[in-house]
Amino acid sequence: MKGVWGWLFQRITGVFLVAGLALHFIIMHYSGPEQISHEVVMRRLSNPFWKTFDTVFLISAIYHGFNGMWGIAVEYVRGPLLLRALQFFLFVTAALLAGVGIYIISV
Amino acid sequence: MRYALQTGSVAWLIHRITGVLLTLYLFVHLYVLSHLKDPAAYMAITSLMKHPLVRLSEVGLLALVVAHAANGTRLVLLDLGVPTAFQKKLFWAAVIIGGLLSVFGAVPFIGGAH
Repeated sequence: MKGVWGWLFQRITGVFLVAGLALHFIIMHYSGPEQISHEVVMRRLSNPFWKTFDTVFLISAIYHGFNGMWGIAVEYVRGPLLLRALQFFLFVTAALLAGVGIYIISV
Repeated sequence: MRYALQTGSVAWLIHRITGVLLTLYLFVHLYVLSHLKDPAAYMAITSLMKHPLVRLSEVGLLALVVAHAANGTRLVLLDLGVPTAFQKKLFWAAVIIGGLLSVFGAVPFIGGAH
């Protein structure tokens, strides 16, 4: 994303990801080994709150990561055609990853 | 004027490298979670987490996340108007807080919480 909106969304998703990751680590990794078992994960995913949280978390992470990659591409790639191709590639990859992630969450 | 190894440029480089690695990790993470559709397959792949090498890489992953988050928080604070005179202090605060979180956060992983 270009200009001030890209910068702003990178910050907003970043702040959300820090808070979300803290929660993610506390719940998944510091609350006992059963938390990552199939049964407990599925039970959590059947709760609308966690489903919504995971979806927003997933989209935020993908946006933040791929927007960051785009920032790096803009800095290093000089040819406008190659840059356009990279932009397309990053967008399609991010969209596919988001699709797969949402499909997984929707179990 | 010295460009190399100033706190700002070190932080910039760390942020960039950890950012790329974390983005690549998204693929691995979703690949593992894609096994949720099949309980037996999910159990098989998550049982890999007991392997010492996987545990070690989880500690590394935690350090990547914490480094990126601590430095990202520093960047947001600077954007919000923390005076640049504090830039160096803020950098070392991020290093110390990030270091402590990485070390203490790694204990449950190594200790075998799962």
